[in-house]
Amino acid sequence: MILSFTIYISFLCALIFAVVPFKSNKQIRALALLTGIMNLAASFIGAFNHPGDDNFTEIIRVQWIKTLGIEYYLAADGISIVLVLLVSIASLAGILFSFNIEHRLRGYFALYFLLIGSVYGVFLSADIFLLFVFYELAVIPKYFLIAIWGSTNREYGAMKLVIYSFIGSALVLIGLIVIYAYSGGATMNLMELIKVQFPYNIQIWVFPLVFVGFGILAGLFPFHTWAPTGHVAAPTAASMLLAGVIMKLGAYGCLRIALPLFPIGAHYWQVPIIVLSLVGIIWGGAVALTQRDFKYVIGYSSVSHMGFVLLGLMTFNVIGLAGSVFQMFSHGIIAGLLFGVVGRMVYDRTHTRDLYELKELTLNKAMPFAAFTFVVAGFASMGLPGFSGFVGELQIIIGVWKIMPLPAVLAAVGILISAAYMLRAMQFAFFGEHLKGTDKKEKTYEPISIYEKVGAVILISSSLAVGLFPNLLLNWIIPALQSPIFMPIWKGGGL
Amino acid sequence: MSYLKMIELSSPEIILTIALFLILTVDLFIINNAGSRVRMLVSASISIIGCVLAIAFIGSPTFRGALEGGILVLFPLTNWVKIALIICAIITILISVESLNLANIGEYYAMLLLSLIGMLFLVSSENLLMVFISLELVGISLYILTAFYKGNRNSVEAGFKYFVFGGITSAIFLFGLSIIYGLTGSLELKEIVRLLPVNSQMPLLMLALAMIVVGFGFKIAAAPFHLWAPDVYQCAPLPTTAFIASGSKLAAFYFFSKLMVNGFENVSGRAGWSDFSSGWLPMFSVIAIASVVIGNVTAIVQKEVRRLLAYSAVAQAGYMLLGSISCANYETRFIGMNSLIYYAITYSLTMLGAFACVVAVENNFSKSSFSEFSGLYKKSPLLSFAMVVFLLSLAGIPPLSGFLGKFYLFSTTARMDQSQLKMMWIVIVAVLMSAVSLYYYLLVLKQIFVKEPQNDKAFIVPTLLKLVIVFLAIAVVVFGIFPELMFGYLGLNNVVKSGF
Repeated sequence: MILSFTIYISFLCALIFAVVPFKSNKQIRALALLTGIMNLAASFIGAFNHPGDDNFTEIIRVQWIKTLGIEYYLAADGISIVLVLLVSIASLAGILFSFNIEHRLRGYFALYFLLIGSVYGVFLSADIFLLFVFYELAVIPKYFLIAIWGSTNREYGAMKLVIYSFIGSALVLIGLIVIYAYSGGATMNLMELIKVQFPYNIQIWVFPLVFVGFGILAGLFPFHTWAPTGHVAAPTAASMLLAGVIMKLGAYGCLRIALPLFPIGAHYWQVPIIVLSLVGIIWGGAVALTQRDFKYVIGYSSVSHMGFVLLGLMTFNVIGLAGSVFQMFSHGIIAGLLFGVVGRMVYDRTHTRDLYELKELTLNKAMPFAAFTFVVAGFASMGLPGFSGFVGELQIIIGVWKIMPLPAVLAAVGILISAAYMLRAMQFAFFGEHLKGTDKKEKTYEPISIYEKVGAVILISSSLAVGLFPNLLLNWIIPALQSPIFMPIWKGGGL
Repeated sequence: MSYLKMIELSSPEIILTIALFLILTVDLFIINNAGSRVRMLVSASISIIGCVLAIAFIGSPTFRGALEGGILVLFPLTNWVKIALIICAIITILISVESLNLANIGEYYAMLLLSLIGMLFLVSSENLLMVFISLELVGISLYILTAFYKGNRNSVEAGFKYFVFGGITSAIFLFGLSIIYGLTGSLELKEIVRLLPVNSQMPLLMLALAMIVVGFGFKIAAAPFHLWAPDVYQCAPLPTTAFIASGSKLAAFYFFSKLMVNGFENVSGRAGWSDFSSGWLPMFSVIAIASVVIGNVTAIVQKEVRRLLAYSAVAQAGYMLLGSISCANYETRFIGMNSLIYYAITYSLTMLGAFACVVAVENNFSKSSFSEFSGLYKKSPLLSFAMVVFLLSLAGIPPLSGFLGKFYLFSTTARMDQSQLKMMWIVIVAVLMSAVSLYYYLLVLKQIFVKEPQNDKAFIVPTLLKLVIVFLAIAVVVFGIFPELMFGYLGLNNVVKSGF
């Protein structure tokens, strides 16, 4: 099926960039853009060809490692499709936002597409060994993207991010080994493993390992600290991908593997994880409120918004989980947009991200388009009705309210905090005023390029579209949640 | 004992011995006045021809059988491992051609072949006396190879250190064997396993097992018997290092796992969480954990690529010990051996490749600390990509073979006690420490890709070396993505299932 082409196109393109010595950067950009568009087309066509029912529709299934019973098994349900669409949209915008890179451009796009291809692979795998292979494959490109093309403290940020990710995957790997060994070492196929009943005493220690392992990548408090440093150090497109797509890998892993396979463990650990996600929401927001560095504000806001995703996962009801998936999509788009504005439009032109310095520059006059985009993105991020953020967070809060009201109230407080830091950042960065007595001339900056505008428009319109018509996504998500894979969650694993 | 049978079964070793003497003769009498390049090529060609002929003999399907007393026992798996060992030796010889700067060229190749012969005898013997002799043959020729740069103090020091350590551990090992002989009155493994009482916990037997484990630990450089490794890896001629890290390790792992399973199956003890009883299994578990932790933690602070690889080799020995451990259990015996051989072979290829890259760097800079690697991506993209493949495979990043190998090893160990998962404690330590290992491999890759080169001197890699590196990198990738090639096409599954 055509959805899997996204993986192959991306890897092929990465290979081409790695091997073929292009003459000019223009050709490289053209090929990158073309690949991005092809990915987008493939995911849309694939999505429309998908029946959208509660089946995990098989794409390809062949024996891969016969000796170990591991299959090359790609399949898609509504949740995969939503996330594949997210990757295509966010990565296309990322390509458009990285057109100003000149230094080692070929290597940059090779790693970029390697990363994207692996992310597609994770979202489309139905064999959890294969899923893990793609998941780990995504670790290394991140390091080089940040360490070579990054800015502030890039080598430190890159290493920190990779070590955190890799320790997370090590925890997941322990879980996978338990799953594989206990189920008899014959299969890693998710649909088969669902039928295996893991006993209580195994579930209660393996579930937290797997959940935290994936959760590290989703910014689970207190393992979230890689996220702000990594986002800040990364080049614009990489931070768009990190916040927009990579953090979703973690949440997706929790949803796809940790919850269905260890439902008893999930119920056992429900309260502690809800507490951690709430701390993430409020702590992330509070820290964002005090930052001077513009990118750190967005970085911590990502931690806060991903807290909602994890919170929604632990509700174990359809509306909460649907909200989680919706929020993954929504945050992916909005975080991409915010990082695009901050990294590409503002930082690459003004060469500062200090909010107090930006205040002096009155950027709303110097770059009206950037200001407009940021205002829109900021409103979307703080959950204004009409944008996607509102729908996701509302669903999650309703889902939480159904099981315990207090966390729902606290999560709502988190939304208030997000309004506060967004408005603060907005005011400082774009609507500052000259101090009296200083008579700085307004600088002029290189105008916002057409590529940036197109990228921004793509992201804004995606957020608006699903915000105004949530059923565009929910029609995919809700049936997928009825599939047999998620049955153990609703049953609570026979508790 | 039929001499004809003996000659038939040891024909590969005999061929190699003939090649060895041929090299010495030719080098001494015929081409001693030729340039070193010519001598190098002639000696290398003779050794390679010898190796290929040996493979041809081993490869014939009728090449199996046993001599009385377990002196030589040949069955499909042994032959398979022997071929792998000879291939490692061939690659080592090819690397040597481009890296050595020696006066005694003939002797070098002769010694290399001698150590290969020792390994071949080692893996095919099931008689304790023969085993000891082969181990010594391997050991002594490797000591000489280590100290081959006679004028270089470091090389000689490393050789001496290796020799002293090796001598002492050999003595301890021999002591252990003699206790076993005293207890059972037999030198043959099949007899020993019959004569030893099941689940016996005799103190004397435990002492003997501990002594055997010391000998094993030394050979594979497992902590706490690893102290020779960093110096030898750093100061020995590079091809020697590569051979110690690959062939010698493969032979030792295969042989010792076979020794423990065939000879001491009934006294393995237990090493599950809160389920210990004495035997060789807990000893193996302890040195496995010690190697994984000490190797990985110490590698973090290394500034020389060779030393870093040495400590990483210590850690890798720890991972592979999990394979030996899972051979102890009847249910997981075959997959344990399968995973061990898969890992040991892909690991050998990876190490050979990594050292081939170091050879290329040292040819240009004459040393290989981190700074020599900086900006390598500009000077030699091929080498840099190959280095990515080798190091990330060692770190266990998919889709390279190191990842699948680790998964296979670890999951097999977990399956030893499938319903209770009591062996998970070792697996958990090993997995977490392997997460640490990515850090120091990335430090090297950071030098290669992130740093800029220190100077713009031309960087020359000889074509032969390039070919070897590309071949090894492709092998590491292909065995990682299509492991069925090894399990099915090359027949590893079948030869393991046919018994060992």
